[in-house]
Amino acid sequence: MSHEFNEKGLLQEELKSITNEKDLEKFASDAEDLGHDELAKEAREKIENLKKDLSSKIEIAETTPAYQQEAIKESENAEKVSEITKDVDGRIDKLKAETEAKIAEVQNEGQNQAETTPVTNSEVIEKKEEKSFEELSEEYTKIGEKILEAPKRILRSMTQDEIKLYSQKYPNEAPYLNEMLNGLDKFRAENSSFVFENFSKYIKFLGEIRGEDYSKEVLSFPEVEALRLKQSEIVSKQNETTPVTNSEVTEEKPAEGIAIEK
Amino acid sequence: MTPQEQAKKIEEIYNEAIKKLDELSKERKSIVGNYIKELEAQKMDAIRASILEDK
Repeated sequence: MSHEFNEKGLLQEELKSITNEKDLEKFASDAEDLGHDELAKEAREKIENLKKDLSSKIEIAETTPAYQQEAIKESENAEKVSEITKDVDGRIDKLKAETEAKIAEVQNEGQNQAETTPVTNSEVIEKKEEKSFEELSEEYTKIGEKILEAPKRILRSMTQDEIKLYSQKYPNEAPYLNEMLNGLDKFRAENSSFVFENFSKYIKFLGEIRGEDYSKEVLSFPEVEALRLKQSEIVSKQNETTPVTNSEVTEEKPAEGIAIEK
Repeated sequence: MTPQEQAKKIEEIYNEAIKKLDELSKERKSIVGNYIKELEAQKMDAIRASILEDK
């Protein structure tokens, strides 16, 4: 009896450890041969349970499409990768943010500096283009010559008959006309408005008697304005470079009349 | 700071960032590489277990 008990107990323990179908089949067969029908039955139930479990797994596998299974696996892997790289990814993001901040800081610094100390390229060019008093005077003379070129040309073409006609019409002004025509080459445009006013008077008369339109040559206002600006620039430059007294300024100031080279 | 100095500083910041990112990239690659090795080992174990089960 005790032997039977021990044998059954041992077989029960053995049955607990068996997990595959083949071993369970063998166990059931042996148990039957030994007269342990209950254990054989228990083994067969276990086989049935294993089969049920297996079939349910197969069913799940069959009803879950392959791509879904792969997706589940990939998703699991992606999650795992994300988890294990969390630290390094965090450091990469931090580095990116730090770099962007540093670049923005440098750019802002440059911008602020440009706003507070406006030394621009155009200013550098302007400084480079800043001309000396001599250069400005030379430019002024050239502009003046250009402006007076046409009026002088017309006045030089004035014939003796035309002079006579003018003198007859304006007897009081006849001496001034002769003086101007004799010293025509010496006239400068230092006071352009005055020169043009006087020249205009004679040229207008010539235009009338010749039937010509000399208005363009005589009244070139943009050029006169350019000359006036140039003159202001020269005066300003002169004051900068050679500070003079009030009396000197009065003396140096361009004459309010026709300037004649000495 | 002159525009040239500013450009130099920006270049330095980018170069430093590239260097650090390169190191972090290697580190990340190494982590993922180790995980792949782990998966390979698991795969081999699973195949081995499956073959043994059939026997």
